[in-house]
Amino acid sequence: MEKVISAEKIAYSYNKKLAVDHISFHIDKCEILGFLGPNGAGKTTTLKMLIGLLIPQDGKISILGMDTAKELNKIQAQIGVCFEEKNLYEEMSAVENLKFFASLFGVKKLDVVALLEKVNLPVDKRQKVASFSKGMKQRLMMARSLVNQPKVLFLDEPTDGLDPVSARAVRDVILKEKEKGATIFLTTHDMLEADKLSDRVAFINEGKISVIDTPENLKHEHGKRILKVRYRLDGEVKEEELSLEDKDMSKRIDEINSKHSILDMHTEEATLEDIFIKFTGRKLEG
Amino acid sequence: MSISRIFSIIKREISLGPRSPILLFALAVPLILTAVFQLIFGGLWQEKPVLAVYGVGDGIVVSELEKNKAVDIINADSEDEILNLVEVKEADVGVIFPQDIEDILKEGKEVVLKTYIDGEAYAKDRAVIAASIVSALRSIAPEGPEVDFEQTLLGEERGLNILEMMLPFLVLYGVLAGAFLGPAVLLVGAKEKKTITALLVTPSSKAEILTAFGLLGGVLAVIMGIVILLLNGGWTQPLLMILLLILSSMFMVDLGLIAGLAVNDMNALFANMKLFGIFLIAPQLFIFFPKWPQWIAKIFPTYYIMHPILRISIYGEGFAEIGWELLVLLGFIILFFIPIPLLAKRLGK
Repeated sequence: MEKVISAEKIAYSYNKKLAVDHISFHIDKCEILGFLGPNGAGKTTTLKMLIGLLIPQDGKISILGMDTAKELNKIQAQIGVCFEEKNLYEEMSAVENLKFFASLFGVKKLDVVALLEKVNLPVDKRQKVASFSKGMKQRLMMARSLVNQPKVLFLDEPTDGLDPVSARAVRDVILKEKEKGATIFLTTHDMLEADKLSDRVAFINEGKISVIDTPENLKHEHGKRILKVRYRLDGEVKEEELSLEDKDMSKRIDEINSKHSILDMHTEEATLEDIFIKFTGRKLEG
Repeated sequence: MSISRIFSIIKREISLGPRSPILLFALAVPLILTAVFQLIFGGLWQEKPVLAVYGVGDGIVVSELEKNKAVDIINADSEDEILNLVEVKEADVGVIFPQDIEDILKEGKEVVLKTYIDGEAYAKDRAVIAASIVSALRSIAPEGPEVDFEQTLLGEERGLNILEMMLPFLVLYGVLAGAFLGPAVLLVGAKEKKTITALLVTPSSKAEILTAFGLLGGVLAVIMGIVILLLNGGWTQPLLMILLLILSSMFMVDLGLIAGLAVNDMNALFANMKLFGIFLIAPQLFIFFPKWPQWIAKIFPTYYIMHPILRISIYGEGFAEIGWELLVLLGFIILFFIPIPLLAKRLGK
């Protein structure tokens, strides 16, 4: 597999406090890596180093086979970045925003209509971005990151705070770009989104990567599959969790069934959040 | 560095026009001050300087002088009439040309001109008249004759009037509004709105972005300077003045970029301007009070903007006289450029 992004022992500190502590990872072509961590874990600092806003104080980053320290401009011509902050030109229309950024990338012919339709935004040449809803702005940010048909996409919390319709539109675009061959670095603290979109996820906490693997492997190897049984006892509803790996599980179910009236029972898989807490001891929203 | 990207950024800023009320206010201030001073002290529609001439009849020298629309000519019949015209202030300057001036010019000899100057004539008017005479003689003898003015002052010499004294300040203010505030406000605005990070992840380099902001402010400053000089009647020696305005704008762009890179919000920018602004306009005090030790004024970099303005516009001096001051200004431009790449490293962090 071709490694499109490769970070080797990169580190960055603010005021002598390590924000990113010598982490290493790579992302293969057409892969989505979900970079998960709570606020202040080092996600944004890592992203800033990858896109060239920060120079790693230690280590090396290579994107599309080029060193970010030496060929940043060439790299930036082939990447798209969607920031968490809505840093659009609000006094311009969506069309003007896209055309301006296309000009910076040297894109002569930009199909603005197709791009706006791709993210479900209306093509209104007069409406200023300032009057857009949060969801519309986020979708425009997504469209802006695609003006140069990037080979690598960096998405920082792309669906954070969006309504379900806007979030779905953004997720659909991400998956379509992946299908077209883009490699995607996705930072998020939304575990469900990471689970739905990512081929692999990396957990970062206090500047260090705790684990990196596919969501399935993580759930399989580190999660606990359980069976939840609800039954009535002396008129009250009781709930009991049984491990599916427990050899005595069937025996316990028979026991409950013989003594009480079972209302329902269902299996439950471990979530990425459970595994994150297991690895880091922290919740994501923290 | 990509010229097309620089112009894309400039085009975006121009197409939307200056939107910052602070910048618009700053650009308007020197124009408003000009109008106020002109209304109070007169001068905006001031009449042309008057030159009384004797000795050349209706010959080629007078016809060349009349071609220059900068002065009004009175043709006197005698030296006494010249003296009288200047004494009664109907003419600012009277000049007696030698009868054989055309021959002297043809032979390429030195021309000695006897002149009478009204002591109350504006320095600027005297400069315009002197430049017009030299220009007229050079148009007859293109190889450039030596001209020696034998001057006689009539009446008491007066100093600069308030409009003349204010001219360097007004021009400096206009240049400052465009070249300092322009890039500083654009940079700080882009930082506040985070659009700078969006620009920095495109192939546009920091140098391109700063060049675009600086170029925009610099061009605006040169235009402001020209407009203020025209409105105040100080627009003389266009090439030299444009060179001075370009250098002045470059110096202010340096300061504007330093300020824009060093601070992160508008409040901090204006707090710093209030703090350091006095150092920029300090040389003006030494124009108002010429008896103060002038060497102190020379410590301030803006002296090398304000003083040449005075010397070109009011005293009609040329490159030979002010060249060294421009050289010092160039030194300050280089000196103040040094911290810019260092500060730019912080951009986008």
